Amino acid sequence: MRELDRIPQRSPTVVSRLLDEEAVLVHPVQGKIRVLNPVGARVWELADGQRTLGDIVRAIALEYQVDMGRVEVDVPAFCEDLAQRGVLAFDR
Amino acid sequence: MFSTEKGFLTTLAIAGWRVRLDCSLPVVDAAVAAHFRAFVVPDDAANDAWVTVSLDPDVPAVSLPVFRATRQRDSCLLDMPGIRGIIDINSLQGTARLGRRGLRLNIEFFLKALFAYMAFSHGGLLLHCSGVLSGREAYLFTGEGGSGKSTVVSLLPHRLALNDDMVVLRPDGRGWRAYGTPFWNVETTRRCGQTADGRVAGIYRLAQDQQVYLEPMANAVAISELIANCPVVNTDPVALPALMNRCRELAETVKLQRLHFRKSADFWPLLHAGNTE
Repeated sequence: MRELDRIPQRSPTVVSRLLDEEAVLVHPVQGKIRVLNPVGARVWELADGQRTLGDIVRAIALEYQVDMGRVEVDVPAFCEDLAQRGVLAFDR
Repeated sequence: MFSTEKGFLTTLAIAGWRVRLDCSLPVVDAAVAAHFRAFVVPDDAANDAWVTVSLDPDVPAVSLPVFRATRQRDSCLLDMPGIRGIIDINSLQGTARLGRRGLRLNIEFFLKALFAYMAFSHGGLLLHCSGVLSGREAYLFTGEGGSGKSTVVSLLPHRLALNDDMVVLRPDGRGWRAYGTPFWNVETTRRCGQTADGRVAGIYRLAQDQQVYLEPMANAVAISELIANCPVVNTDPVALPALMNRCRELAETVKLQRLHFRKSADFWPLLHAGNTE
């Protein structure tokens, strides 16, 4: 399966709030709190278990007018980092 | 405090809330009375919480002061070195079985958990911070262990200290009010202000530095800082959504800033500028 076909989904155990375009994520089991910048917060918002990484990459590149090649690298890496921290999982 | 057929009763009033402790043995009652004497009040009014405290030789001795609380339906279970207990979050009734070794610390830890839920259920917060009073204004200082919360209090000897580790916040009109608690970190800290209260003028995240200045905090960072400093309830998945909203309300009312400071009281004029006594 291609990397961009994977579907990220926010962990149901994480409680989050969007604040001034940033996001606060709290993982009560881990006792960890993270703050995401506006782009990270938008990726978090889009990681709804329906959209693929490719969908999210296209949305971010369009909304932030960023080079697609760069977003294709950064978004999967960001989601992988969140997955390793247990706040996001891949459905497939 | 007085003795009954059931046990030894002591009533404490902290931040305006009354908790009655029913201690099974005189040694427990004596530990409560000695450590919390500034907060002992006559048992002549309705109580907000009620706790049965007993000794249990099977409870392992206290080691590190780390909260281990688990939400189970409407209760908070505490199972950690020195403490086995349960708090009914709705009725605020609790049972504490404590290890004899480190008894005072064990009682204090249980009461911190109780007051974390007590404050939360009444629209307030138990905040991990130190606090000093200047006139009617309270200045609060957050930061991880070793960041200087107790140091800041000791650097301001002419100010009443609410506490060097835990302060209760309650909404008060359009603002918030900070109340002293008996939950001190440093044994030797002066405690003349621990039963006092004041309007919260500012909350400062401590950062030790060679320079003294204030640095703005982004709203999301400020809120995450507040959440991180609300013990017990910030690991309760049921309470967490409301806690995030509560912290957001607090951050909208009270300015949070990062305070870069060195071990000197020269930061004080910086905070006090613009706040009237």
